[in-house]
Amino acid sequence: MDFRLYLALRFLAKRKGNFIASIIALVIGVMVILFNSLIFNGVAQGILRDITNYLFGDVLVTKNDGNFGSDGVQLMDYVKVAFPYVKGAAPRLSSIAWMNSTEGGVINEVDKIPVVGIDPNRDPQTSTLYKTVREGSSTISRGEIVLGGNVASDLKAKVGSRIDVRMISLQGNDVIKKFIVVGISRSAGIAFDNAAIMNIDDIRTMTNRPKEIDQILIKLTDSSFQYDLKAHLLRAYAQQNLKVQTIEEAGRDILAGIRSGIGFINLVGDFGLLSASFAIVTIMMLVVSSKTRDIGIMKSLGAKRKDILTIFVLQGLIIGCIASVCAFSIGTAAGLYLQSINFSFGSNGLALDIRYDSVFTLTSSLFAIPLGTAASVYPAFRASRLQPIEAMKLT
Amino acid sequence: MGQSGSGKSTLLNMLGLLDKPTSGMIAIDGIEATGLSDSEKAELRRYRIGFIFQSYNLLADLSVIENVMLPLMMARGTSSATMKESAKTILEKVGLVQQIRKQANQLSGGQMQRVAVARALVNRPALVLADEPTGNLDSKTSQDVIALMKELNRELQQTFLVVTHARGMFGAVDKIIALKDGKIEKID
Repeated sequence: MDFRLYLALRFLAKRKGNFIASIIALVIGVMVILFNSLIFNGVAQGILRDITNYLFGDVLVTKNDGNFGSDGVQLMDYVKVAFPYVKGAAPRLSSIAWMNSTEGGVINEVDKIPVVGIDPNRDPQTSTLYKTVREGSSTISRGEIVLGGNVASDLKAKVGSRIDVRMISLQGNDVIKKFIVVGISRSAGIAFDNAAIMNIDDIRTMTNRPKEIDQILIKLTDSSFQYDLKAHLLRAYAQQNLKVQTIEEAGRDILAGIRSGIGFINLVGDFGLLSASFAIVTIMMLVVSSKTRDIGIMKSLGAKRKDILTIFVLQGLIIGCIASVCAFSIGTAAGLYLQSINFSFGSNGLALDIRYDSVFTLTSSLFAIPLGTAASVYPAFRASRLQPIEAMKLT
Repeated sequence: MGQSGSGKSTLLNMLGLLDKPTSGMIAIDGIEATGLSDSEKAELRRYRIGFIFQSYNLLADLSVIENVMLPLMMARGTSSATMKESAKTILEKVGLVQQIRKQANQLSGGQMQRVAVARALVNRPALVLADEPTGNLDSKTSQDVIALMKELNRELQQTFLVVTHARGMFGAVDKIIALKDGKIEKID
């Protein structure tokens, strides 16, 4: 074995504290990056999944110049028949409502609540909105309403409560109707926690917009067909001024915010790695300082500058390699574990869509090698410049 | 020999190319050494010069045999088995063959100096420079180390240049150079 590698290994073995501390510093640095990526990409994927499932489907169809009428139903039936990869298509109609409830003789009111009307037959084929209904029933017949968790809380309403809902019709008239609360929806803020869900026909009646649809959600068996479907629809309905959006387009504003947040948090992770590299430089400086006399002795025996440089850079390389293996092992175990448990923050929190990425884990872990090596270069360079007699006198 | 501050150690360090002279030149085997690069000086130290220091200067993280093998490892071109054999042979000569697995810092002062002697001689350098080799040893151990160096000098035909205060050394050497204020005062 080359004497430089031999000495690098012996010195590391004899300074276990510094050795282990350097490895831990590097592993922590890499883990910060890995966990940031796992958690925050999990958040982004979870939000993407939820907005796909609750709000927009895989493809969202609207009109640039108003709402659909009966042509909306024809479009939904067409896509179901024409495209085998279409799992379902469902209409939505939105409005704004004022609500009040009387609980224990006290009137509770909420203003300007977004209300979305769904088709109870078609919606479950397209959306998993029904899964957000944590209390009561998700089947909404006419005269029934599901309140978002925050709205229910403001109204102090429970499943079974009766509430008055006021909407403004197309003609500008107030229309008030009594509804019974059949369910409470909670979705970690992604769906309708601050809104209410009712039967689409109730909204049509109250706002006097018969047969109107303002959004058509289309769910695919394979989301990769979304661009194919979009192209087909724009061609087939060229005269109808359709607006066809993929989930990336429909959720652009939401996703852009999340991704810029993730970019910022990843930057914080990079600073973590930078801190780790400073820790290693400091530790390596301590290692070199404790070896000053040995450096003098080795030089007196005929070691050259490059030999000394090599010994200490090899130590950094060895530390980097071991840290890399440790980070990959821990990162893989943690990633697979978090992926398997459907991790979420709190029982009603967003369920993260964590996906273990072996290539990212490997490349992040391998980054410890050049980092460990680079961190040892400066201390090694300083060590190699010591004159033998000075080095021996310094102790 | 010479009084403290007479320049003995400085002379030895310069001859061993561990220190640079402010003026003048040093030639070793006809090679003008002062103009050599650090790397070339290291080569000369590696193959032609052995050092024995007052404070032993062993690498505490290495075992006895590893310390002795170090000059051979640096010289390269020798198999591990041959290096071990050479180290054992020289350690046998200094009476430490039973201690080869011990860490250098587990030995007594006398034993450490014997290891230092073995390390200085293991790759058969033409010149061995010893700076106060008995300075940290009791008189009995000093006598043993002096006898050992004399014996090895005779047996291995290597030149020893020793800086010392020890009177016991004077009877063991072929030539005594006395220094005073950085200059040679007398040669006996």
